[in-house]
Amino acid sequence: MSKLALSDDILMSVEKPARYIGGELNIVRKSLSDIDIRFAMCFPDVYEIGMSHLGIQILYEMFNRREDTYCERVYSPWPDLHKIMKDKDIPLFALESQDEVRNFDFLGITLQYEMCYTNVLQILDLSKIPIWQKDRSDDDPIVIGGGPCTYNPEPIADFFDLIYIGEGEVSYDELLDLYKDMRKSPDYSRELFLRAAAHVKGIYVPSLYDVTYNEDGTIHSFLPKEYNNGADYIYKGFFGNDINIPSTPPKVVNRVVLANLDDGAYPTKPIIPYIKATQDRVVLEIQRGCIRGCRFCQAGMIYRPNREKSLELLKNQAYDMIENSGHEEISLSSLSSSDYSKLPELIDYLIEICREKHINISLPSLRIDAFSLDVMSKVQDVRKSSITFAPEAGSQRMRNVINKGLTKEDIVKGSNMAFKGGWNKVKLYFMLGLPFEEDDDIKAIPELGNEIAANYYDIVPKEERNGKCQITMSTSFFIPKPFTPLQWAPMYPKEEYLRRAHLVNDTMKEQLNKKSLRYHYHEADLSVIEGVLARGDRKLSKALYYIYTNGGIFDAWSEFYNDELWMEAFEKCDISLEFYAYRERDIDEILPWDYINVNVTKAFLKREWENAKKGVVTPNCREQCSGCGAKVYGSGCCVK
Amino acid sequence: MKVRVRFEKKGVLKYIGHLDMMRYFQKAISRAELPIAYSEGFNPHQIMSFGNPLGLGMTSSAEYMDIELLEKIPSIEGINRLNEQMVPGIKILSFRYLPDKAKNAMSSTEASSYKIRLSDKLQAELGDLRDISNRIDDFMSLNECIITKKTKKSTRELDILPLIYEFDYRDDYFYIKCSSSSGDNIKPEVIMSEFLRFLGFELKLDRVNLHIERLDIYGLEDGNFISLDSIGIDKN
Repeated sequence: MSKLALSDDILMSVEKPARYIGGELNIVRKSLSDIDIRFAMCFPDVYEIGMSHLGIQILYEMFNRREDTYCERVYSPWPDLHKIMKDKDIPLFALESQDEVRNFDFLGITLQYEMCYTNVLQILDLSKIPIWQKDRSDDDPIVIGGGPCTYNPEPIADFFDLIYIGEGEVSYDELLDLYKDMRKSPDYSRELFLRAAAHVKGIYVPSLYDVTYNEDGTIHSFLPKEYNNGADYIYKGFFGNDINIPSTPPKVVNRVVLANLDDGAYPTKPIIPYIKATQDRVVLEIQRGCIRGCRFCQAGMIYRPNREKSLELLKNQAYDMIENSGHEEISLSSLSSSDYSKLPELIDYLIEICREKHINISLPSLRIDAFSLDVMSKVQDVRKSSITFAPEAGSQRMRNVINKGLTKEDIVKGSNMAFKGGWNKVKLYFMLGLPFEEDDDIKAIPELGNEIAANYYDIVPKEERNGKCQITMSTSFFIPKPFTPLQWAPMYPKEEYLRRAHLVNDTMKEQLNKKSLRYHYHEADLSVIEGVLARGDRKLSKALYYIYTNGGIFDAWSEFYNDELWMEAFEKCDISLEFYAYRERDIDEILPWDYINVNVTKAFLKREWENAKKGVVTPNCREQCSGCGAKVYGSGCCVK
Repeated sequence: MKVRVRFEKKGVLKYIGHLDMMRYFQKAISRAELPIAYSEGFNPHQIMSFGNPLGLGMTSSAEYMDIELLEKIPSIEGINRLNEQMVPGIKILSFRYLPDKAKNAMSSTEASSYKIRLSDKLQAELGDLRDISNRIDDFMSLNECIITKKTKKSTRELDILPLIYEFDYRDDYFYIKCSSSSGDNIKPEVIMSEFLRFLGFELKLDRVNLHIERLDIYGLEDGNFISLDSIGIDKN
């Protein structure tokens, strides 16, 4: 039987030891003597969350298709094990081989949400890799980050050797080939490799840039350093290639995009965890990017252009994944799934194979119309399930500000249709604290809920009702994100967020149908911190280090998040909430992420910010091209 | 038709709990495409039930799962098709068709047998195990050995000696066969702990210092213990 990194008495003393033993069905096993590159791929959160993430599974599949590379998985040890590993000085290990991460060539960390940053430090620390990039030696792994938070990696830039900006399918082969060529040569040095890597498309090397600041704290300049007295350097690669390393890294890092999604690797033999992962189902990615252009939505901007996978490929992948996993459920993954052009054909096919194999279909939130209600009635128990709308704002004025093309009429028509079809539960998602939001816009949220409830009692005769209707409204607090038209917008102190949430609640209690309405809202303090990290700069790294070294981990978990510790760190490190969260950015200010070119141009974002101020709606990509810049990729909806 | 599947669970699989094993087998049966029966409704599930849960930290050569099939497949084929879907550490040992009136594995259970090895650390504390094992007969000859059993609702006193059917020591292992019926389920670590207490050792025994393997589970037939495995028959 395979060896484990942790002893029996440790495993028997921690919660869910299966998180740490590996050996799951469909993992890749390779002989170390056959490979050149060991890649540890980490999701910096607990196993059950990390194992549910599709992106990591895609990369795991892609890396392991390379004969010279062995990719293994790493997740954050839960606080119980964290303490034991610190006390007993046990280094962090990868699941497959149970070998220490510090002996790998690469440690890849996916950055899915800002609140995982303290867990990134935990991973580095437990791995015994120097936390600060500048302290690493040639023998430490190359630490590379990817994922949505890399569209402003500055708060964590000092902890990473490389940041991959864009879709993993594009540049990793080139990067790994380059590494192999340089690493095997006797002249290898970390700095030379990083300088060479800076010229691989989509690769950003934070240590090669200098930032200077104005007196008010904003960025004065962000420039690449010059090396070798301005002369290129020729490096003799192990395989005989001359590797030309220019003296200066590129000024701008361009996001890379996979033009044809059908060409990408896909995990059709998914790993099946022993313990229940959050996503205990087949996940089928049907498209990337979104045509809608909601102004608050980062994913809607940074994954442009919208590209669909072909129907035939999706059918094959769905079939194979069901066969190879034995999962009892399948769900579709994408932004705005209703926009996938062959959705009816795909769902017909899924219904057919799933009926035969007794598999449940869990539908993503579809636009509510006759089609989706018909599909839902086929795959769900109408009396138990609910229908979902994401109006994001309560009033039409605010929905125009954020360019959410869902009208009150759409919502009323959709919910009425659903009530006639037997549903009586409706969920509504909103944001509070959007720019230009006024109290009337906030009150419009419960008023909309009330109107939907009133329609239920009008439409459905008493004898046909399945009890009261149940309208559940949830609000999160708006957090401005880089590369969105609202990236310049101010946030508010948590007291103001709570005032707005209470206004929703109080207004709800005044409604005629208040007994049919329910309301939930998110934590306000966490939202402010997330906002600081999302738009922060390199000065934040000291605060993150302070928080981690003072015991802060798993900050994405509200039970572990310690607001006092964060405030203490900000004070000690001179981080002002006023500067990072509450102020509106000047339109000409150099933003920390300006050196990244996502090919959604700043001119377009500025235009959209102006449109937001005026409440002018911009058509979606299929109706009319608005010239965002993503056309340069020459794929997806831009070329149809 | 009902089939009883026996499998072993070894090595690192001891860290996988009972509910996770059930989900593991649900998926394995789907992958193996066994003709299993499903329940009705919007969320159909496979008709399956498991024998006595194995505690976390124990290994076993006798785990039982009863499944309902829609059509007959040869036993050897059932074993092979499932084994193709197993991870290292789990192995299907038998696939036997049960008589129609057979009770499921859980409610048939009357007794279980275990093989126990003491951790090196524990052995060092106890001294020569042969000396210790020579006292088993003395322990078994006591008038009574009362333990306090706590359930959710009450605590009750129970004499465990009549519930221990076999207690031996051979080649570094203790072997215990004891009651595991729903009314009088005795854990092997409780027996070991009482035995050592009788010898004057007050020790906290758990699954780190006792390595326990379940060897088999038994039902009753004509007053004799019979392996749950022997209740069914192989079919071609």
